Amino acid sequence: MTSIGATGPRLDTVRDEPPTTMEGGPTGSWWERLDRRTTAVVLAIEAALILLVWQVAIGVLQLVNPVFLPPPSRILEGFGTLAARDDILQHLGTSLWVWILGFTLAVVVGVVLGVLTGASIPVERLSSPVLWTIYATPWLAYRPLSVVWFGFGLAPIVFLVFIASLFPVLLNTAAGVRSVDPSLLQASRVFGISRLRTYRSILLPSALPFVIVGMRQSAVMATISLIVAEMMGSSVGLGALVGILTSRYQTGQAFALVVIAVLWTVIIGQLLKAIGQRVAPWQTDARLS
Amino acid sequence: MSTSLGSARPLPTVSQVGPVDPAEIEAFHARHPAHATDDRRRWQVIVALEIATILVVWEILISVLKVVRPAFMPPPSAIIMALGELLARPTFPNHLMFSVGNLIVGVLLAAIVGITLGLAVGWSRFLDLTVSPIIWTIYSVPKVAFAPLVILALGLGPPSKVFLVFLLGVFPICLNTIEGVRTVDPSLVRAARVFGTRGARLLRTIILPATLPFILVGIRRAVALGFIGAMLGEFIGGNTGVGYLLKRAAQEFRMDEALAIVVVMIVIANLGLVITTLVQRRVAPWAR
Repeated sequence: MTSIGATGPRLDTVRDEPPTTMEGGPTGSWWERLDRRTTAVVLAIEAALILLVWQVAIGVLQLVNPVFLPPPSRILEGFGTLAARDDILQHLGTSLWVWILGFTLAVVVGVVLGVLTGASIPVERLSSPVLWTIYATPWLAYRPLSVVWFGFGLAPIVFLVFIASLFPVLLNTAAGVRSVDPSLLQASRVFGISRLRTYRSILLPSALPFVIVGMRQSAVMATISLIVAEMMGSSVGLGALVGILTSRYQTGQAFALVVIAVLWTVIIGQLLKAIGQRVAPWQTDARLS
Repeated sequence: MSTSLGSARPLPTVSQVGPVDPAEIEAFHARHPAHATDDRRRWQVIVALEIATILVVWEILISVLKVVRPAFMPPPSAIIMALGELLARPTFPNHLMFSVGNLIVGVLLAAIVGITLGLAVGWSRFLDLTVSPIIWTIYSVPKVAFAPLVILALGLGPPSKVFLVFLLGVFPICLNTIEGVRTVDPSLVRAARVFGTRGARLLRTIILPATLPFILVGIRRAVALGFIGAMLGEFIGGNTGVGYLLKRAAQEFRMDEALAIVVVMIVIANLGLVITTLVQRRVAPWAR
């Protein structure tokens, strides 16, 4: 464990401070007394500094080959160059369409399977060999297989996005259904509520916060798998364009594309978070938000 | 399980997600031993029968009824034969060791860097304030997009694969370590200080034991993600490794061999998870 020695100095500096630092008492250093707004300002200054150092170190001093790590100015330029391309909308539009298709499929199938496996022990046990086999296979391995199964169009890419983003929704939904309050189920039985209605009115609403968490994890997986799937053997789409641009050493544009992918994922994540807070405002656990 | 990161939470396998709290089942089994073994054995038999039925039906559908061309979906018998051929091939150990070696080296590097950085950031309020946002930002970037660039920069050999494993594995380890250090009970640290424990000793006796379960969860995720990184590297560039073999087999429509390689991949990926779980049981048996 070489890591222990390396953290020694840090611990030594902390050692000299009063023990209250563990709780962030008022006797701590200035950075422990920051409110939210000041923190934001400090972080903004830090971000600006990082960008500046990055720009100088690579753009001016050329410490690293700018092809491998383009400076911020190159990436900004990349946005401009990308926007001027004739086919940029075709690439991004295709990716968006495939992403939505694969993600929606994963959510629909994942919620249905998740509710079924979560609500019934026999279903869970009987489906586990098949589901486990699909889940245990590294999702990337489906990429070469999907070409054999679905040919060369968009179908294999949709399939990979679907399979890579299925299990976060499925497993979270199942966990959510299992966490339903048993007294609610007993009450529904006492009132003779039909099975379908039990699913709709009790199991699904209880599981909803979990479904949203699963969807947010799935959204990340969908983006990753989309990029990989397009990068390998497709000529259209954001991932394909990243591969093409990288092989032509136009990495400023490639990085700009990655930024677009990040923005897309963050927007979807925030959207799902907002939906989650709306449909399940009682779910205040920070870990879930 | 001591998970911490909402989005980085390692997903339990389908078979792991018990319908009821496992402790409850165990308590029940302790009370009714006969019933428990009966019930468990009955389900084992049912699931075994189910798997056998699936395999037989699959075999008949394709070998006898020829519902789908075997080139698309070979029957189980063909996959087993291809697996035997694959394992007997003299060059196979070479490919296998290449992939596994890159994975191990990459995960070790990721663990060294991730744990060091995680301990520092988790311990120091100042680093937490300034460095955590950077780590989270990079964590949210789909780093797979840099795979062609990594191949371009580091070539077709092992370094590019090791780096991809490292790149995908380091952030889960680091973020889990940070989260783990944060959960250390401050009163323990204060008590240790009262007794004059500080520096490396404080780290070894108080902070590491409390953080270890989190670190191991991070490493387990790093193994899974790192394997994806290693495969991706082999798919995109180079001519060695099980990922490369899979790509070749699928390109040449040798589906039986491709699925046999997928079986090997499942074994590698899950062996990694099993090993990290065993390590966890040994070094941190208090963690669940």
